[in-house]
Amino acid sequence: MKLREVVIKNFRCLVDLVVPITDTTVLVGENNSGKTALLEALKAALPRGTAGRGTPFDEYDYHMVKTSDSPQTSEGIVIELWFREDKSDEWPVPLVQALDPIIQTDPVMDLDSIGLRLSSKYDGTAKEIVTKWEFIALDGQPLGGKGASPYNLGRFLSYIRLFYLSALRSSDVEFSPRSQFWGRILNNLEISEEQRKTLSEELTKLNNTLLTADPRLEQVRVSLDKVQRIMAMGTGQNTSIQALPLKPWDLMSKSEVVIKARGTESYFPLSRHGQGMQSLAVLFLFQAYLDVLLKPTFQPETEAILALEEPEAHLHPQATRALAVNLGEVKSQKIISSHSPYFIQEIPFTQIRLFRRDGPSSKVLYVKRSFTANVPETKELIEFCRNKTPKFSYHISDSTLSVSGRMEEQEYRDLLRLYSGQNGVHAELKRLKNESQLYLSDNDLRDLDTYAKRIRGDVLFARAWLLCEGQSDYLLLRYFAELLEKPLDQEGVTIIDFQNNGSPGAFVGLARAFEIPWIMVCDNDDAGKGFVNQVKDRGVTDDEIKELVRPLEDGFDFELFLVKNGFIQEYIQILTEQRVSLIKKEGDAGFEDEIASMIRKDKTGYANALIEKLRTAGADKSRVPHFFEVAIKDIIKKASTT
Amino acid sequence: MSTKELISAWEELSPVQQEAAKWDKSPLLVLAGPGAGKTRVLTCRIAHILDSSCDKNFRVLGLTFTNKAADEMRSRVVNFVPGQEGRLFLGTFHSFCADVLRQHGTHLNINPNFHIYSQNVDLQAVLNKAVKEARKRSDVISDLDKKTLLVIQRLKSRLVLPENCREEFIDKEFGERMAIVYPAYEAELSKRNALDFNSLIFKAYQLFTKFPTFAKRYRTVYPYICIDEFQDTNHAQYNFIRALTGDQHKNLFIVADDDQIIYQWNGASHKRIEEFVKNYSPSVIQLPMNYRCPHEIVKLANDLICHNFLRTADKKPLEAFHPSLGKDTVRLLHVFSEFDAEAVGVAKDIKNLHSNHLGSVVVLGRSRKLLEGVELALRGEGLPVVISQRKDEFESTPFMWLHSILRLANDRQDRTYLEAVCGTFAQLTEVEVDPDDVITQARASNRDYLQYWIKIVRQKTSGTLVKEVIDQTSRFLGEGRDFHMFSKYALEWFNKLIQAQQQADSDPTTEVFTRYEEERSVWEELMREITKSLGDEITLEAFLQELQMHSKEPSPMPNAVILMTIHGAKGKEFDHVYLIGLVDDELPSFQSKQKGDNSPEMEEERRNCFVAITRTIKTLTLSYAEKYRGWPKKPSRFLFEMKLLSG
Repeated sequence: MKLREVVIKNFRCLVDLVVPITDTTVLVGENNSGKTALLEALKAALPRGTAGRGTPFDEYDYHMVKTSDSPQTSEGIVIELWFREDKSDEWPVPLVQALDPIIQTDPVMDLDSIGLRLSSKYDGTAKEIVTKWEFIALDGQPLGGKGASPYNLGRFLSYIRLFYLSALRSSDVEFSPRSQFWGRILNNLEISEEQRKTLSEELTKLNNTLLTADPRLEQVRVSLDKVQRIMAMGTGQNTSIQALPLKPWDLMSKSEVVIKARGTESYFPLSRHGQGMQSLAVLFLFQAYLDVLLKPTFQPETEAILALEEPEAHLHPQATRALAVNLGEVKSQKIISSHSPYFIQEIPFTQIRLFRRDGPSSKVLYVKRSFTANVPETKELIEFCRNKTPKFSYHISDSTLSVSGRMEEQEYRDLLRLYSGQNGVHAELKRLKNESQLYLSDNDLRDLDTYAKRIRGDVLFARAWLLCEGQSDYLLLRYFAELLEKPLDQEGVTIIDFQNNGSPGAFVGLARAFEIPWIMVCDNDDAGKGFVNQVKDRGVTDDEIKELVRPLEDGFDFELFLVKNGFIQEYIQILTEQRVSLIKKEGDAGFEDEIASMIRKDKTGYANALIEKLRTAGADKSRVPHFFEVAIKDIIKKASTT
Repeated sequence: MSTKELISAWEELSPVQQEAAKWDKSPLLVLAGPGAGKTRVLTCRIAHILDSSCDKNFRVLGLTFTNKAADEMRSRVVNFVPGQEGRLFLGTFHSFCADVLRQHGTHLNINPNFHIYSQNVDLQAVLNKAVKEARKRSDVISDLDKKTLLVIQRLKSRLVLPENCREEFIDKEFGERMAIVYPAYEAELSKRNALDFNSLIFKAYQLFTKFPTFAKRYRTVYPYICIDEFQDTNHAQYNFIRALTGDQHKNLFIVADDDQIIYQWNGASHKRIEEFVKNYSPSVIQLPMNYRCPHEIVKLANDLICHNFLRTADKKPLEAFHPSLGKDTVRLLHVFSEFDAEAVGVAKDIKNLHSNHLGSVVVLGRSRKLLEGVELALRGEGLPVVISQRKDEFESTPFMWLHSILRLANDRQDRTYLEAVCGTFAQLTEVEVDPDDVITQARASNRDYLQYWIKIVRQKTSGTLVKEVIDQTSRFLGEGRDFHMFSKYALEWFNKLIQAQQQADSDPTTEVFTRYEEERSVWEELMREITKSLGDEITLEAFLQELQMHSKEPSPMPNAVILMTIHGAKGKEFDHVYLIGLVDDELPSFQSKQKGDNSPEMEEERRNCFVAITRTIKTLTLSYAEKYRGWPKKPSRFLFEMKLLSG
C-alpha cells in the first residue's frame, strides 16, 4: 500500500497544497519553505498508536497571518492522505479483507484507494478545538456505515507505519534501549530458557572471578554491608557488587555497535565516531529494522514510510551521493527533504517536489506526469478514454479527465466534438490541451536527468536560467556578465547549454514545471530556427516567445555575430598566433565569413582564446555587445524578482 | 484450538451431516427436508471455517430469510468460536444489501445515511406525492394511479428499471402510465433519501452489475457464502447472488428444500434450484432424515408431497428418526358444522388437553381471518392467546420518543422526527415545545434541530428529571453520537419517571406507559442482536436502518397459545400443532383452485400443508367444517392425499 497524494490545508505555511507522492519523493527548497512542515504533517496524520491520542497540534501549527489570528479564527487544519493502487488488484488479498470497510474503489478504473483525513478546527458550538481522524470517500465525504467506525484507524495503522528520522540524528538516542528501532530489536531477541539459564550462571561465575581479582573490592563490599545492618533490613541478604549485569536482558541492553576507525586496530563505540558516521548508522539501522522486525511485529502486509530529514547532514559529497543511491535499496516508501545538490543530482526530476515560499504561504512545484480537467461524464467520453488507455482516463467520482502525455490536435478535436455547443467544456478542454504541451516525455526526462547528474542538482536552486546552445556560448556569456560586473552565479542565474544536454524544449518544459524564469539566446541559422520551433511546440505563446527567445540577427550564428560585432581584431590576432593561414585579406568581401568559418572548427578553443585575449587587454564593459548586455540584464532582473 | 462446544456439536452430527458441514470450497447443494438439522449443519460449517482460519482476515457470509433465524444462528456460532464474530456477516439479504449500499451506494448516488421505508403507509405517501407531481406533467395520470404500489413492488422484484418498464405490460396504455408513475415514485424516494425493501436488493444488484469491481471486492472479502432457505429466493435475490459471485467464483453453500417453497407469490420458484444447479453445477448432499416429527407425521408428509410433480428428481422421501408415538399423535377432529363451531371446538380441545402447557401449542391457519376466529374462541374459553405478526414501529410513548430522538440525532433536519420528539416528550414530561419554534431558531444558524430542541427545552423547564434527561441528551447525542450510552441512560430515566409518578399517587399504568415493559424487552433484545450482528462499532445510521428492518413484535408470553399463519411458522417447531380450516378454498386456497388442480399454485398450497404439519414435535390436530362464512365447502383434498379421509 503506497501513499500517493498528500493534501494539506492551513498547517503552518502550507495553506493549500496538493503533493503527489512517488515511491521515493524528495522535497527540495529553501529554509522555511515548508518541507519539514510536510513531513511533520505526515507524522501527525499517522500516529504511532491510537491509545490516548490527543491532538497532535499546538497553536502555532494553525496557519496564521495577521496578529489577530488565532487557532479559533483559523479555517482549521486539514491533512488528507491518499493511498492508492497503481494497478488493479495490486493490494494483497489479506489487506483488502482486513481493511474492506475503508477501501474505496474507482468503479471504472478498478483501482482501490484509502483516504485518511486528519482535521482540526474550532467548533463554535462545543467551544473547543475538535481534532479527528476519519476515512473519506473518493468525493471527500466522510465514510458512513462500517467505514465510520472508530476502530478503523487502529486497524489501518497496523498496515502502514511511518518512521520519522529528523535532521538531528544522534546515535546516543537512536541506539538507546528505548529507541524506536534498536530498542525493539533488542526487546525481540529470542533466547531460549535453557540458554538464558546457562548465560546467567556464566555471568555469575564471571562476576565472582572479577570480584576476587582485587581484594580491595571485597573490603568495599564488607563496609557497605554495614549499612544494611544499621537499617535493620535483615533479610539475610548481603550487599554485593555486580561488576557485570547478571541478567542476559540487562547485558543486551548495554550492547552497542562498535566500528573500527580507519587505520587503527581498535574498535570505537559508534558514539565516538563522527556525526556523519552516526547519522549513516541510524539510517542503516532503520533498514535492519525493516528487514527483521516490521512484518513480524505488525502484519505480513505491513509497509513502512520513512520520513527523512536531510540525509546529507554531516556527510561529505561522495558519501551523500552514495547515500542517495543506497537509499534506493531501503524497502520502504521514502519521503526525504534535502538541501544538498549532491543528493539531488542522483534523484530523477519526477521524484522532486520543489517548495517555494509565496508570500505567507508556500507552494510546491513538480514535473506533472498527467494533466486534468473537469468535464461532465458521457458514454462517448468513457468510450474515448477506453480506446486511448492509458494516455487518457476518466474518474467518475470527481468528473476529471486526465491525460498523461501531450494532447494531439486530432485528439483535441475529437474531444471538442463530444461536447459540441458546450462552450464551458470547450474552454476547459483547450486549457487542458495547452497545459498538456508541457508534458515531458520519458526521453526528455532521461536526458534531463543525465544532465543533472553531470552538473549537479543546483539547477533547481537557481533563480533563473539563461539557455544557450553550446559550450562556447556558455563561456562567453559568463565572461560578458563578468565584464558587466554582474557575475551570474552571484545573481542566482544558471547558464544552461542545452545542445549537448537535451533539447531546448525539454529545458523549457522543466523551467515551466518548476516555475523558473528563463531566457534563451540562440543562433539564427537553420538549427537555431529549429530550436525556436521546439520551444513553440511546448505551448509557449507567441508573446512569450517574443519576450524570452532571443535569436541573433537573421542568418547569423554566434561566431559570425562576434566577428561582426567588434571582435574581429582579436580573432585575427589569435588566428595569426596559431599560424592559421587565411585565403582572404582584411577588407575583401567574404573575409569575415572566412574567419567565422575558421573559428567554428574549434568553437570552445577559440572562445577560451578570445576571453584570454580580452582579459589580458583589460577589456571593460564597453566591449559587451548590446545584444548580450540586454539578455544578461533581463535575466538578472528576472532572477531578482523571483 | 476448537472449543469443547464446537467439538461436541460436531460429534452430534450424523456422518452425512458431517460430510456437509466439513465441505470446503466448490459449490454444494444441501437438500434438507423439515427437521433435518440444516441449521445445525450450517452453523457447524461456518464455525468450522472460522475455527480453522483464526489468523486470517477473510469473512464468511451467511444469508437467511429472517432476522430471527440469523440471530439464532449467530449466537450458536459465537458460542462455538468465541471472538471470531467480527469475521462473520450473518443476516438477511436485506441487511446485507443495506450494508453494501452504506459502503458503496454513493456510486449510485445513494447517501449512506438513507432511510428504509418498511411500512406501506410511508410508501403510499411517497406514491401519492409522486402521482401528484406526475399529474402536473402529464394528462394521462390520474388519482387511480395511486393504487399501483403493488405493481411497482412487482417491477422492482423483477429487477425492471423505471426506464424499461413500458414494455412489461400487455396493456399498452397502462404501460405508458407506469412509465411515468414508476420513475416519479423512484424520484420521490430518492428526494427523501429513502429506499424501500425491494430497492435494497435492486440497488445492490445494480451496483454489482454496473460496477463489477465491487462484486469482486465482496468476493475477496467473503470467499465463503452460505444461503439458508434457498428455495424461497426470488428473482431479484437470486440475480443479486449471481452478480455477487460472477462467473468464476462458485463457492456457494446452499441449503434448500423444494418441498418447502411457500413464497411463490413473492417470486420464489421451484425452478430456482434447477437454475442454481445449471449455473453452478454443485455437488448434492441430501439430508432426508427428520429429527423433529414423530413417525406418523413423517408418513403423512411423504404421502402428501408425492402428489407434487414440480420438485427435484431423485429427491429422497423423508425418513423418521423418532419412532411412532401412538394413536393420538395425529388426530383429525370430527367435522364441524361451520367455522365458528370449529373455532370453539379447537379452543375447547386445547383447554382440555393442554391447559397446563399452553405455551407449547400453536394454531396454524392458511389465512389471518381464520386465526382471528380462533382467537375469539380461545378468549371465550378464558385462555391467553397471541397472534404472531410483524410489528413495524414501537407503540409505547417512551420508546416512540427514544426511537424518534435517535432518528433526529442521525438526521438533524428532519421535521417528522422533530415533531415526534416534541409530541412524545410532552406526553412524558408535560414540557410542550412547538416544533416550529425549534425550526425557526435552527434555520437562523446551523439548522441542527436537535441542538435547538435541547436549548428550548432547557429554557422552558426547571424540573430536575427533565433537566437531567436534557443534559444527557446533549452529552450523548447533541455533541457526541453515543447512542449505546444514551439508550442505556434512557431506560434508567424511564424507570425514574415511573417511580416519580407512583410517588405523585398517579396511576403508573397510565396511557403513557402502556406496553412499556413489553417494548422495553423488545428494545433491549433488538439492541443486543443488532449490535452483535454489525459489531460493537456499529454507527447510529446503520443501527437505525437495521432497526427499521426488524420486527418490534414482543416475544410471546410464556404461557399463551400462539396463533400463526403457515408462512409465519416457517423454520419454527412446536410441541403441539393445530392446523385449522382444512377445506378446499381455504387450504388449498380459492385462487389456487381457480388455477387448476395441477397448477404450480396448487402445488404451492400442498407445500403449505406440508410445512404446516412438519412443524410438529409431538402431536398434530387437524380440523375442518362444512361451512365457512355461510358457504358449504368440501374437505381439503390434502386430507385425502394424507389418507386421513378416504373416498
